[in-house]
This record gives sequence, structure tokens and C-alpha cells, in this order.
Amino acid sequence: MKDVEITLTVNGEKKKVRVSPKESLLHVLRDKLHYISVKANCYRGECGICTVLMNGFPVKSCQVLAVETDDADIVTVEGLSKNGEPSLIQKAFIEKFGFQCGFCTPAFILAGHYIVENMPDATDEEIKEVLNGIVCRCTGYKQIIDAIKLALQWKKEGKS
Amino acid sequence: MSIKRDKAQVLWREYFPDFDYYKPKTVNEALELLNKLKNDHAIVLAGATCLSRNFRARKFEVKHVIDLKGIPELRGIKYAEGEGLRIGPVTTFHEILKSEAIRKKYTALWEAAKQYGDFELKFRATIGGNIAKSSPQNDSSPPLLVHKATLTLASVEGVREVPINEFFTGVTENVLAPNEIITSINVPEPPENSRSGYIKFRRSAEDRAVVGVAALVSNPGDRSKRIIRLAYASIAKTPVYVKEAEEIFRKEGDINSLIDEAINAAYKYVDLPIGHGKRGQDLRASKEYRMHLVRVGTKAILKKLIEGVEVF
Repeated sequence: MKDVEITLTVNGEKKKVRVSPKESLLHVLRDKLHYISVKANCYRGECGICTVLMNGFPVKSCQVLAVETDDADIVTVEGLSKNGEPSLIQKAFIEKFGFQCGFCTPAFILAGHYIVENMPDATDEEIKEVLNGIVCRCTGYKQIIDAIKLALQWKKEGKS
Repeated sequence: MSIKRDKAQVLWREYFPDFDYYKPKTVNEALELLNKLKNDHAIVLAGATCLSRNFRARKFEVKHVIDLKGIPELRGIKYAEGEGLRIGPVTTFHEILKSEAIRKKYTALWEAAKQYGDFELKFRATIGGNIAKSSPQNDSSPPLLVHKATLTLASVEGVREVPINEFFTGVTENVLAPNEIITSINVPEPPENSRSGYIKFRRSAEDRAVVGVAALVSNPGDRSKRIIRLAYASIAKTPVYVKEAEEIFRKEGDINSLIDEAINAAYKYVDLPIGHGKRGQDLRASKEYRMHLVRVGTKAILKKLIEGVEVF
């Protein structure tokens, strides 16, 4: 019905978008702002593939109304690298081959980024708990967990 | 960069239905808005984790959505020694997990938040939304039932306080009037020397409970001071508080035989009507399996709280 103009920060850039209440954040990010690393899959909050960081926390963007995100700070995978240099977690995913088909990878990288930034002493169990909402149907979970552990180790050693 | 998409590819499920969105700043503003729109398919939104699914599935008609997340007084956890706990309904499960007071004094609620949904849902899903949805499987109710919580409900006509065991009336049904919202969840100070806990059986990380068991135990060794309370999720039309258990555990006798008696009392409540055929059965479990989980879960949680032995 009534369209609303919202201002949101995506990867550090301020964006003004006209959104309708019937659109989800997923839709706005993918189809209106063209951040296509955010993948659309189940639309039911079950697979976690559409994960983005909203105000620093991982959320499933298919469950977020776009109109709610006025003034929100969104981070997608596009925003992790600085000046073309991949971030720590991205390098670790490459090093440990933490992906197969790549469809779920943006979600896992963002969840991994959350762990690296917020849980420096995460145990295997804690890492698994963070990842438990995201589904990888190639079932490469082992490599993903290894990659996150490597990134944590690098962070401790002061590598950037 | 632009992406061309075939119109046929745009599935209906991508969109929510067409509605107007409101984000009031104060409780009074929200109540007046809700009172005005209550007969025009208005719905109150908190975390949007459940509603977004139902919107897409077109489960009900919706024309107005009133978002409570813009009201600061409905958010937050306040604990005062001796007075008890007050939780704002729009408090997320993540905030509950961060609260040291809840972890120490209201462990059942903390454990329920820990086991609620998956990691990402905890940042969005709210305890008030979980209660107001009134699903029989909701995780926050059994802990609140054993802690004898009350809910403050408000509408333009006034404020009333309802004990949580009188709140639920059926599957996704409760005593909330169309123009009422939950404004506070009040949990009294737990009994002296008490411990509480919650065990949830589920199929996958984001699944609701197949059976959830909450218990509160105080002075188990001393019959005159002993308090043991039991509550269950996902065994009947509503979350269940087994009030017979209170009486049973005051009786004399071996604690293990009293536990068996309490489990038998809980069995009588196993009656889930959303079944395929038989009552007590749903897509998650058969009646027999559900009763088995009631027995295993009750024994496990009481063993943990009485003897300190972790079973799972």
C-alpha cells in the first residue's frame, strides 16, 4: 500500500530506497540494490542462506520487513573486503577450501565473520551452535568449521 | 549492474501481502492505533520471525501491521533482589541469554532461550511474540509456568494482570482481547534454595519442541519445605502446568516413586488435537513416543536438579 522511503547503510554506504511494506530486506538487497551475494532460497527462515549482518548481528533477511530497516546498518559479503584485499575470514575459507558449490558460502562467511569479531575464544561446540541455522547441502561443514578456526587462530596471531 | 528477471520467475512467496506499516513510539500511541484498527485485520508485530512466514503463506488476511520494536519501554530486563524480574515483551532471546540475573536465578528461562530456535533467530525473535503466538510448542512458557510468572496486558480501557497459566486457551489462542497487547512479563523471586531447568527434545536446530520439560526444585531432601513444579511444552493444546505435581511431591515416600506418580499425572495431559487421526499425535511424534519423552525428560531434568547429574 503506502510506499515508504527508508535510509539504510549497506557496507558503509548510505542508501535511500523507496520500499513497499510487502518487500522483505532480502528482496530490497537483491533486486533493488543488487547485492547479489545475498542468496534467496526458502523464504521461510529455515535455511539461513539469506543471512546478512544487521546492526552487527547475523539475521535471516527473508524474515526482516524492509520497512523495519530504516537507519539499520547492513553488512553483506561485498562489504568485508577492504580495497580489493579479502578479509581474514575470506582468506581462511580459500585456504581451507570451505565451499563446494558456493551457494551457501556468503551466509557462512558472514556467520564466520561474526565469530571472528565477537567470539575470539569460540570452541568447536560454540562454532557449531552459531552455524546451526545455516544449511549447506554439499555438506562441507567440516571445511567450513576448519576455516573459521583458522581465521580465529590468525586473528590471535595478529595477522590481518 | 542490472538484473533482468522474467516476471514469471517472481514467485508470489517473495512478497508479503499488501499492508500498511506503523511504528509507534509510545505504548499509548500503539494502543490507540490498535483500538482504531482492531476490526480491520490489524496485527501486532514484534520479532517478525513467525509472522513473516505466515504472511507469505497467506495464513490470514492482514491490512495493518503495528510494529512494537520502536517503543523503548517495552524492551529490556530489570531484576531487583527480592522484587523479582520484569521482562519487556520485545526483548529478544539474545538479550535474555546475556542476562546474568536470568542465568543464575531463572535458569529454566535461560536454558529455554539457549535452546530456542537457531542462533540467528535469537537476535530477532522476542519473548513477548513467543507468548502471544501461544503455540503449544513455545519454549518460553514452561519456564515461566514453573516460576509462576504473570503477564501485564494493556488496552485503551486499562491494564490487567493475568497469571500465565490462565493466559492460554487453545492452539494459538489466548485471553488477549483484539485491542490488547502484553506490556510486561513479571516473574516473582524464585523460592529459597531453588534451581530450575529446561530440557527440549527437537528434530533440528530451528525446530520447535517435540516435548519440552521445565522443572523447579527447592529443598528436595526436606519434605516439609520441598517444592517441585513441572511444566511441559508441546504435549497438549496449550503449554501445560501440572498442578497435581505440587501436591504429589509434598507426600511422604521415596522420591523416585513420587517422580513416577508425577509422570503419570503429566501423562493425563498428553492430548494434542492437531493430529493426523489419533489424539495426542502430530507431525512431530506419535502419542506413545510423546509419552516416552515426557517420562525420559522429567526423570532427566529432576535428576539434574536434585542430584546434579547431567543426563543429556
